[in-house]
Amino acid sequence: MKCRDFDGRLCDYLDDTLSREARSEMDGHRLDCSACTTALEEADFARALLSAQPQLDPPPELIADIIHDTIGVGSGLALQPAGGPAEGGFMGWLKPIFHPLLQPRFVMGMAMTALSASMMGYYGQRTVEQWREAGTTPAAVAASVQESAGDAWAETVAAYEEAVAFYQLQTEGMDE
Amino acid sequence: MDADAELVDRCLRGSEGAWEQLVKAHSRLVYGACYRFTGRADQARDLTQDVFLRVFRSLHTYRSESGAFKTWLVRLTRNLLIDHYRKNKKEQKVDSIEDQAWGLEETSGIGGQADRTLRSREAGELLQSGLSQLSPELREAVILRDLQEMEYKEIASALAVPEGTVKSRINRGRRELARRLTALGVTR
Repeated sequence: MKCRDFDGRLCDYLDDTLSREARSEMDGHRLDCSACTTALEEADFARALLSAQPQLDPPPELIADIIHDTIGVGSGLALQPAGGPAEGGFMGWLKPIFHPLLQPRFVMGMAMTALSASMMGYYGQRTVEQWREAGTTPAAVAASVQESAGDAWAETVAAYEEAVAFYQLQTEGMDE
Repeated sequence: MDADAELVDRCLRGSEGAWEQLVKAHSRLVYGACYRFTGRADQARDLTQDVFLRVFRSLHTYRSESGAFKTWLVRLTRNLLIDHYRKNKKEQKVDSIEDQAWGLEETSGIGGQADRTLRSREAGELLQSGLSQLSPELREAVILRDLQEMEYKEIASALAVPEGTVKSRINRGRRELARRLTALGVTR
């Protein structure tokens, strides 16, 4: 047996998967070759040390982070169906369709729109019925908003003028 | 169809539960390989996240008829580790020298003891230090065989080299590691 053949069978020798003949052939070579004996001892030493190492468990939060980064809320990623309905019946089929619309940024946008509309209604001092009476065409809404804005402006100017008059009265009293 | 291929199939049909199962089933393998390769828990953590993000994005490219999912995953992990190694080559060289110096200091302190067998934690740290000093080719072969307990055939497929080359790398890696550990004072 040549050293090269010995090296080629070293892994199998250490795994104890060689036939009895092949194993005794290697043992015979070891008696005549100190370099191959050293090679075997070194490989066996490292293998034993490595095999004694415990399996490493990932930190518990790592799996949660991976799930969050891939399919979690706000990840912006979604598992792509490869044709056919997704599992979970009809709702499961609908879910991927509406998934983009149910992203937090869209939901927040819709909420802000509703809030703006309600604020406009409140500060314009108009009820839904009044808005409805004024009409729902873009021109009617624009005219109504303009009118509301005019009213709000007039109220602000009046409040400012009252404040100025009050300030003047106060300062005149102090001068005397 | 094996269990992994079935999970992948369910993932591709939109099942988030299947994806979670797939991550849980293989995170140990990926994290273990990343930690043993880099020797650092923070890097292993980041790399494991990167691996699964890449798996998630390219899951549709996996073909069960071309091989086991585990092999595909190890190949992907390995590619990412090699990229990481290349990017951080300089930094790692410095780390390795520091690790070695640390190892020598540690072992010299207990060198006079009759029993030079190191405590398991220290042996583990020295082993990690020794692994970090192997070339990436030898390191990955040794890690996949002796720490991740993969079959030669699986390793050959993941590394895209013949089985004989895998065995030769494992032999060389083990011997080099043994010599480095002996130099650091680790004995049987």
